[in-house]
Amino acid sequence: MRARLVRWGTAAAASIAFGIALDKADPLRGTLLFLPWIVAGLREIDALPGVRRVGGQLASGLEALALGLLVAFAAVRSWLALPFATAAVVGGLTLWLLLAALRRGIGLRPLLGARLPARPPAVFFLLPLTVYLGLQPWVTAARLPDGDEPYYLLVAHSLAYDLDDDLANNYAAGDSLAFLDRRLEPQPGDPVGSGGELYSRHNLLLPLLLAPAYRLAGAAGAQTVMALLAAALAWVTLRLARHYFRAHPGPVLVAWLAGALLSPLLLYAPQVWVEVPAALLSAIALDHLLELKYDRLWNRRRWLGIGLPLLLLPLLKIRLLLLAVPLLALAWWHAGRPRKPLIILGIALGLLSAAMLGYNTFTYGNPLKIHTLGELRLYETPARTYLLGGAGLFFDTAFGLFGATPVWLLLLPATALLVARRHPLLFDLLVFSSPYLLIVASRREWYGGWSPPFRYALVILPLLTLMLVPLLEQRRRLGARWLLGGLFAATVALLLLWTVVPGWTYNFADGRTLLLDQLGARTGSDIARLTPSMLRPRPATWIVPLLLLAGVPALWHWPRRRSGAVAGGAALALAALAALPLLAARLPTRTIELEDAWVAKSGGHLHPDRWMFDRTRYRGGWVLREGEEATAYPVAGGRELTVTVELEWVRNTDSPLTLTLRAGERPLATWEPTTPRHWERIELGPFPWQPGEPLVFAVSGPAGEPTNGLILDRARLAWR
Amino acid sequence: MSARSFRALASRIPPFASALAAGAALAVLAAHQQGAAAVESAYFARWALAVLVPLALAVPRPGHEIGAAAIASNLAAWVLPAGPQRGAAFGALLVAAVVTGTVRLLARRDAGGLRLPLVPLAVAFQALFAAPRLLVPAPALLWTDLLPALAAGFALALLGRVAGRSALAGGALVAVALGGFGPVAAGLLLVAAGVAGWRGERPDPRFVLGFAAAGSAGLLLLPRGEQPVFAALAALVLLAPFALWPAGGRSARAWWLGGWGLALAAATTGHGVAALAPALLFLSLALAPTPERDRLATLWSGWLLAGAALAAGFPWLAPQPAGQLLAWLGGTATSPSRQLVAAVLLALAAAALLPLLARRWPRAAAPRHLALLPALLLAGCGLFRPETPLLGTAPVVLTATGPLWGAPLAAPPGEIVVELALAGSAQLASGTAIGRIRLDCEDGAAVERALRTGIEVADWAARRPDLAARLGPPPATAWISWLGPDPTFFAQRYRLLWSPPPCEGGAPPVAVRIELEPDLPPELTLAIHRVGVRR
Repeated sequence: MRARLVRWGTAAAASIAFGIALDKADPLRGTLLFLPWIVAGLREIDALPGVRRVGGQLASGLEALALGLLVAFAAVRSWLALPFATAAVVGGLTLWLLLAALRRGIGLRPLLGARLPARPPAVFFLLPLTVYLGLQPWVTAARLPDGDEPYYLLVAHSLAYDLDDDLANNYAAGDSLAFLDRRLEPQPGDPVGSGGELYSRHNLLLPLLLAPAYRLAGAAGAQTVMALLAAALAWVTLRLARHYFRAHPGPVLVAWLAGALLSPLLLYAPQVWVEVPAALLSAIALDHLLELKYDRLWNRRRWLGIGLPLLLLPLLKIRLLLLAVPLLALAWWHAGRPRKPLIILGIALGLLSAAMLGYNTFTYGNPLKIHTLGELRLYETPARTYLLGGAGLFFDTAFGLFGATPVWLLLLPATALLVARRHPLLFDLLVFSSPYLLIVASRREWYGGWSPPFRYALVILPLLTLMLVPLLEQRRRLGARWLLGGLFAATVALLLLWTVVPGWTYNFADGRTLLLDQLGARTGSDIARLTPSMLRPRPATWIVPLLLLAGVPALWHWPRRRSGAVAGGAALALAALAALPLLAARLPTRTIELEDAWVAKSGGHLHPDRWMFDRTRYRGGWVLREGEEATAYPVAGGRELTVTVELEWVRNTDSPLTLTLRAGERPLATWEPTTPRHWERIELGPFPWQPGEPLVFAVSGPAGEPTNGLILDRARLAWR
Repeated sequence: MSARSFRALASRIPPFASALAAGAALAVLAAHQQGAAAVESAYFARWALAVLVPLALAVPRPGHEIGAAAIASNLAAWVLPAGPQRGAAFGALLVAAVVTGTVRLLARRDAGGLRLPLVPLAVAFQALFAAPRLLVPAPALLWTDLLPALAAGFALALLGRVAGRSALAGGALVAVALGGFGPVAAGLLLVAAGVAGWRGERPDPRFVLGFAAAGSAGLLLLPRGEQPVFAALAALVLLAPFALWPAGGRSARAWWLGGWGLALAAATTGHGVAALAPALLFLSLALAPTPERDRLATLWSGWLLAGAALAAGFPWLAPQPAGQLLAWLGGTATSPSRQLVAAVLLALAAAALLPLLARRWPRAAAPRHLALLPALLLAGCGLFRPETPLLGTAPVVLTATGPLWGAPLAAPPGEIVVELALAGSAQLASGTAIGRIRLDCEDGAAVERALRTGIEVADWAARRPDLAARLGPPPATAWISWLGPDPTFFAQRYRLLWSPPPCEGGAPPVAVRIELEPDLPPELTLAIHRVGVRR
């Protein structure tokens, strides 16, 4: 007890000292105020009976020393006056917190015993919560709420202060300035009441949950509730594991640490999205319905544990009905196909759905709010769309799971192993997720819109986490350890970037990522074309996933018996990094997307505007007006070049317009458009070509105020 | 080769591969960049290889710190824009890797396993201190750095075998005092190791005293150095582990007094921290080891060695790292402050009392608690005396046509910090007044501080070989370096800390100005990179 008092008393004193010393405008103020409490929380975990001290006193000493140095560095950064010093402190503290949490997580192994308990100890909730709360002050301040988040918060504000969901007064009063740096405007499709009320198109369940905390502590309170839900999801995932891998607590723990402490859950924990509570409700329902396998007993707890999530899911978001129905089917299946629960729950779900559709029709004039029934005609969607959308959820560089968190590539050999063993987990995953993911994959916005990666598929994260368990039982092979080390190193490196610059997790749907653009700018090469994008298909879109599908399982299973060190994985990760600019500088350029950052422009603008709603409906390009030009340095693939340009003529006056293609100052071809507002594909060439020459697209016209222009989408290069 | 030897060798492959991969990835980055960024990345590649490859041979299995350092240093290099901030992050990560590896190595209970790894470990440390010379690697590096580091490592291995951990700590402190495991440090350590090896046991204190006295006498015969005595007292912080009151009778106390007498005499020679090396070596070998002294010596030498390595590396490039480190800790640009000297003397007194305190409160007075103390002290000073910038992120350049910059002050400053660099000043003699910093008082009076070439400020290209040959090394105010497109020298900025006296009559200061003198060569410019005030 005395040690606990000392621990928390020291935390309070340190927090007060930071509060006095730090300026209110200091970007690290929130982080440093919270830090002593986080440290005390971790020390509490150390003091739990039965917990193992991984690394012993040496690791504890190094950890304390590293923390002391980071705090000292944070204190003297104004003296050093180096740019990015704050970012370096944040990166250091993130790494420290992650490693400290992983060390403690591994030390919790004795608490799981020889067989997974039915009710994991509360520390498996507290540990991820500590990490989420530790990062929350910085992440939420460095990137203000975006996407749908501010609208959920505004509704929570209205519920908390006005006790209604009419947002008209909140928009007018600028209440969004409490958590944003701008006044919110209504979203497209927001319903308008008969008396001039303005409502949100989002359901009220999540804002209702957040309203009390919002009333107490504003947006920070609401975000803390989201962190609590994320930590609860982590705990339920561990509880769920006992149904599949009860006798394998070691590998379950390792998989659980990856799911709970790494992205995507770590990214979504402080953010306001429905996907985390949806995943939580689904996991709770799954956990209860899988208990039916053992005793087929429908007691009150089971009714509540299955029925309540099923009914709450569509209330959270209507599309989550596509999760509720499969969960009902699974409950029926695992309970031995009884009729009564199926009928009762089916009727309840049906009545709720009918009520919701009726309410939407009455309030919005559309039973599906802003969606159409046409979106449900899955049979009209081509197979290629499903393939791109489905694969994109995992392989897309900007929005897929693997691009944001490489360690999840382990799902590839894990899936093969589960298929080989015909594991029941696969059946449950397929039944639960297929209807929902099919709808998601068929949508133009399968990537989640304006959000961090893997948004729509986050609901299946608990089952994906458990898929890793059988694979991790084999983690002592040489290839496995090098792969684990390399993927873990790459994941942690990316996670540091996502934490320090949270804005880099929000990518534009243009086939690139902000991180790749930075790397491309550093190395002067178009690295992004080497990565798969399902939004802008290119050769890498197909080659890279096939290589990964073959290569990752092969490396995992090689060689059979020898063990190795995880430390070698860093060499693998660095080799992959170094390969990017080497390949980008050597592989011939086949396509130039004129809007990309690596193409230098003397003027013009993006088309359509970057913030155009549902931008992927349009052909993205760059507008060049009279007197402006764009220059790219393609990697030559031969001595002769033919250029096919896709463009549209924007004619505002009758003045003629000419597109001139040049190799540096050497003119290659000219072309004059004849048909305005019509996308054309023109072939120019072949021209002789010297390696290293710049390819210039120049637009010219009569002197004077430029009023006509060309929208250039892309140029395809054919070499011979 | 036996299976055991093969396994030992094979266990080195992963960290070795990581170290090589780190350098290779940086080399690839350099090959795809232009201008100053490419020069800097290529330099990082050489530096990383020089540090991480020997470290990979030194650290115990599995060597995760090598992989972590390889990834983290590349992360910094690939993501951060080129400039001193990238260099600072890169250097800090390399130092962290070496320190972590050293801590893990020393934590091994197997004393036999400790010996040989000290050789590559000394090379890794020397690579940190040799950072300035890695910009343009020359064959001379073999003689100035590699061979001396190897020799020093062997000497430490031998000394550790016969004289225990205190000898290792003493060797580390010698490296701190002399700015690395260079020829002089290697020579001192080799002689000490030679004596110990010849006798096969802890060397006779009388012999070591004679050798150390000879070394110190040699210093006394040299012309007096420029370091003021009171500033040299701050350097006595290196001897803190040896301030512990010795146990073991009259002879132990005699050697202790003798060693401290040598140290104080060396401090009066004005040659700064380096003069303490013989006294350090003597005290570490002559005094019988005790658990408290060993632990305190390990922690203290670790802090100072890491700090000195950081100060010696890019972008700081301090020519006398330990002395510079003390100046910075004391809050000045050039020499330790009076406050630091007082703090050091207090620390020595506290260390002397530690054995008595440890008897009464063994847990509270544990040396490991001192490990965090420097960090906490630094944090306290930084938190409660932050620096407020008066200049934006873009530098201001004063020229003959625009010789003045100024900013209002919201409150009287405790200290004014400026970062400056001249251009086109190569023809001016050292000591030429080129401008001033001026504090305007409310009643119209002013207080000023002159800016003189070679003293407060110097040319940005002062490290260029032709200028360095003519003007000598940069002044002690040299602060931060960066790499320009010319790959043969480091560009330099200078930092001046000025505690202005109060205005006459007690009027509050209202503005600060920096201005160039008139009648200077027209090509001369003064770039102001930073102006800040501290409470």
